[in-house]
Amino acid sequence: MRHTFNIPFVKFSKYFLATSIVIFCISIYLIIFKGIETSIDFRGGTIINISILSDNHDLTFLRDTLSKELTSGVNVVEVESNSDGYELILTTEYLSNESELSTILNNIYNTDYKINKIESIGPKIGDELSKNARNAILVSLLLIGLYITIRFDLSYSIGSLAALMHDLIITLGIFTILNYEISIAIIAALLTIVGYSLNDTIVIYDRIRENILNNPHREKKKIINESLNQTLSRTLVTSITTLIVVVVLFMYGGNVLKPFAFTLIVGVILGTYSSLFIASPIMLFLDEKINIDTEEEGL
Amino acid sequence: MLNNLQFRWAIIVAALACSFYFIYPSIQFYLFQNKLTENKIIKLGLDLKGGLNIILELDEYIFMHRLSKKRLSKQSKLEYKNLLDQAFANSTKNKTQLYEELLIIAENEGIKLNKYFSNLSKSSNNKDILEEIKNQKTYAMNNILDIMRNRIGEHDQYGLGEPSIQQLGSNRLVVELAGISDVSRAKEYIQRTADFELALVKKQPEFSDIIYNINKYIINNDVDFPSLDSLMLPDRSSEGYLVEENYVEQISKFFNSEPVSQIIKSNNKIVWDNDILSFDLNANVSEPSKFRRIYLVSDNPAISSGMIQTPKAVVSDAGTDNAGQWVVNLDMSKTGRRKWAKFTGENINRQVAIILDGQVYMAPFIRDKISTGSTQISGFASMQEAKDIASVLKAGELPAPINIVQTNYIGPSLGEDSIRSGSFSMLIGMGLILLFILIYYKSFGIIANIALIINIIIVFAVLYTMNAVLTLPGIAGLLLTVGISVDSNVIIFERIKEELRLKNDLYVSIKNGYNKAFITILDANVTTLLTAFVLSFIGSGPIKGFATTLSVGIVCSMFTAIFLTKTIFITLLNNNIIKKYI
Repeated sequence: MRHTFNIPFVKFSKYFLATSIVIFCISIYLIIFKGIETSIDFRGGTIINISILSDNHDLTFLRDTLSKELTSGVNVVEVESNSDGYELILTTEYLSNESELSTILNNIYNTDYKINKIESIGPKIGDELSKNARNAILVSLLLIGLYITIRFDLSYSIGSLAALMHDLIITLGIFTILNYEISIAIIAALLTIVGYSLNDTIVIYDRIRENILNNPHREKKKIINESLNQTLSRTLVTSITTLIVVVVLFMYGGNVLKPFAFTLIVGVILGTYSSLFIASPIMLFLDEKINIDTEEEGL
Repeated sequence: MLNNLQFRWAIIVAALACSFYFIYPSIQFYLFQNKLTENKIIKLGLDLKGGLNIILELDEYIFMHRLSKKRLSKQSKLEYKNLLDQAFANSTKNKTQLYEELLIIAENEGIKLNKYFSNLSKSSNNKDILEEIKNQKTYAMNNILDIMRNRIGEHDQYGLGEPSIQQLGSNRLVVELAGISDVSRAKEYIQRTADFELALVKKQPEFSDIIYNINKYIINNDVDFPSLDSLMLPDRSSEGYLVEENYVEQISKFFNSEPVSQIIKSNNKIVWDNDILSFDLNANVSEPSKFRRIYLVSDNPAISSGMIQTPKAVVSDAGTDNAGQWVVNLDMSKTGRRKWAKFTGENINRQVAIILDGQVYMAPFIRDKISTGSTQISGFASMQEAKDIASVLKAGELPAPINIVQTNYIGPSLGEDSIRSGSFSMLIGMGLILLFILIYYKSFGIIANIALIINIIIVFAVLYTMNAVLTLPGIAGLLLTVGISVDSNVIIFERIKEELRLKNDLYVSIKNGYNKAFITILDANVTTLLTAFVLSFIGSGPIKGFATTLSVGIVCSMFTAIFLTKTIFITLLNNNIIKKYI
C-alpha cells in the first residue's frame, strides 16, 4: 500500500520551536498593547442590520439625525449595495427599545426599509457573559490538563497545554492584526480549537506511550520521531477533512458564520502544526529534565 | 467473536429503524412540504425561522420598594429609600444581589429591617426577613411567568407560532416569539406592567401651591433650574398644566429628584399625559408648538388593576363622544363597582385620570354618580394599541416592572438566507468529505462513507428525541462532526494498513487495527467532548445548539465508526468479498 514517512521532526524541532516562540511573543505583545476588540456580547450595545429599498443614500444625514435624537454616538456602516437598495449596520450603545429609532427611520425612509436583524445586549448581561466565557476557557483547560495527567503523565500534560496556549495566543494575535472582534461565537470556536488541537496531540501521545511500552530501552528521541511519522498520515488526513468542512463553512455558511469559520481555519492549521512540532518536543524536553533530576537525586 | 455477528446486525438494524422512524416526519416536512407531520419534526431555532428573543429582568429596586410596608411614617420612608439606594449602588458596583447588599448594610449599621417589613414577617431577625423577601421574589417571578403566558396566549398574533416563555435564573425570563415584524410594538406589549389606576386629579390651585413651593426651594437654595413659572402653563381645559415637549424629560427628572419629590409628596403624585398636543401659538413659526399635559393626582387610586374585569377593544358606537374611534370597554368587580359608585358620587365635577403604566390615557370630568361600573378608555393611537392594552389588562398586572436586558431579532428573510446557506454548506461539505475519503481509501472508503451517512441520520434522530432545536451554529457543529468523525475511521484504517505492512493476514490486521485504535479514539474524543460540555454551560441559544450537535455527533460517531464498520468488515471477510481488493 502507501509508503511510510521518515521525517526527522525532533531534529528540526528546535528551529520550529524558536520560530513559534518569536510569533508567540509578538502575539502577546499585540494582545497587550494593541488590545483585542470585544463585540457587544461582552461590552453591551445594540447592532441593527437594515435593508433600505430607496434611492435616499444620504448616510451622513442618517448618522447625524440618529446621533442627535438618540443622544449617543451611532456608527453607520454600509455593507452591501445593489440595484434594489443597500444594507446598513447601525451600532450604538445599548437601546432597551428601538421604538425611537424606528420612528426616525420611518421619518427618513417611510416604509422603504426593513429590519433584518437586531442584537441588543444590556451592559449587565455583557459583564456576565465575559465572566462566563473566561470561566469556560479556564475550566476546560483545567479539565483537559487533569485528564491528560491522569491518562498519561505530567510532562505530556504540560506539553499539550503548551501547544494549546500556542494555538490560542497566536489565533488571538492574528485577530488583533485583522481587527476582528471577539464574540461568544468566537469563544465557541476557540474552545473547539482547544478540543481539536488536543485530539491530534493525544493520538500522537498514545502512539508514543505504546511504542515506549513495546521498546522500553530505546532512546526516547527516536521513539518520538518514529511515533510522529507513524501517525503523520492520520494527522494529515484528519486535518484535511476538517479543513475541508471549515473552508466550506467559511465560503458558503453566510455572513453569520464567517468569523466563526475563519477562527476554525486558523485553529485547525495551527493545531496540526503544534501537535507535530510543539507538543512532543516540549514533552521530550520536560521528560529528559525530570529524568536527569531524579537520577541526580538517586546519586 | 463471529458468532455474535447476527446480534451486531440486529443492533444496527434496530438503531437505523428507530432513527428513520424519528426523522421520517422531518423529511416529509422539510423536503416534501408535508404540513401534516408538523408536530413531530426537528424544530428550527429562531436564527433560522426568524423571530424575536428577549430576556427580561425583574426591576428589583421597584420590587423592593413595593414589598415594604405600605404605612410607613415619612421619616421611615425616607430612611428606607436611602438604605435601598445605597444597597442598589453597591449591588451594581459589586455585581451582587440587591437583597444581599441590603443585609450587609443593615448588619453593619445595626438597622432592624423589621421596621420596614413587619408586613412580611413577625421575626426581628434580619436574616429571617431576607429569607421572606427571597420567597416573595420567587412568588413574584412565578406570578410574572403566569401573567406573561396568559398575555401572550391572549394576543391574536403573538399567541401563534409556538411562543415560548421560560424563567432564566432567579430574576429573569426569556420570551421567544416567531414571525414578528414589528419589534418595538412586541417589546412594548411584553414589557408593560399593566398597572391600571383611576385616580382623582387634584385641583389646579393645589397644584399651583406645590409649584410655588418648588419655586421657592429653587430660589432659596440657588438650584440650577429655571423657575417653573416659565416652563409650565396652567391648562384652561383641565386641572393640569402644559409643558413644552422639549422640557418634559428635564422636568420629569427634576420632579423625581430629592428633595423636590418630598415637596410634591403627601399623597400626591405627578403623571404625564400619553398624548402630545399641538398648538399654533406663534403664527410666524411654521411648525406648531408641541405640549404635553402634566397632572397632580392622588397617590391613593380609587380603582386599581385587581378591580377590573373583561376589558375589550371595540370601535365606539355612533352618537358617543368617541364615535368611530378605538376604545377599550371594561367592567368592574363587585367591590370595584361599590367603590366607584361612592367615589363618583363624592367627586362630581372633579376630574379623574385613567392611568396605565404611569401614563394618563384620558382624564374625563365626573358628571354623575356612576353605579354600573362600566368604563370606557379612549385616547389610543391605533387599533393595535387599543387591542394590546385590552389584552394586557385582561392578563393582569405584573407585581413589579420588568426591564428588557437583551434582544435578538432575526427578520424572516435573513432566516431564509441562513437556512439556504446552512443546508448548502452542509451538502457541499458532506460531498467533498465523501469524495476525499473515497479517493484516498478506495474500497475501505466506501465502508467509512456508509458509516458517515448513517452517523448523520442517527444524529438527527437523537436531536429529535432530545427536543433540540436546529440553529445555524448547530449545523456548523454537525458539519464539524462529519469532519471529526471521519477521524475515527482514519485512525482505524491507518492502523490496519500498518498491520498489513507487518505481513499479517487481513483478518488479523483488521482485528489488531480495531483493538489498538479503540483507546486512541476514546482518548481523542473525550477532550472534544469536554470542551463541548463546558461550552453548553456558557452559551445561550445558538451556541448551545453548536455544543449540542457537536457532542451528540461525537458520541454517535463512536457507534458508527467503530461498531458499524467493524461489523461490515467481518461480514465481508466471512463471505470472502473483501479479499479480491487487497
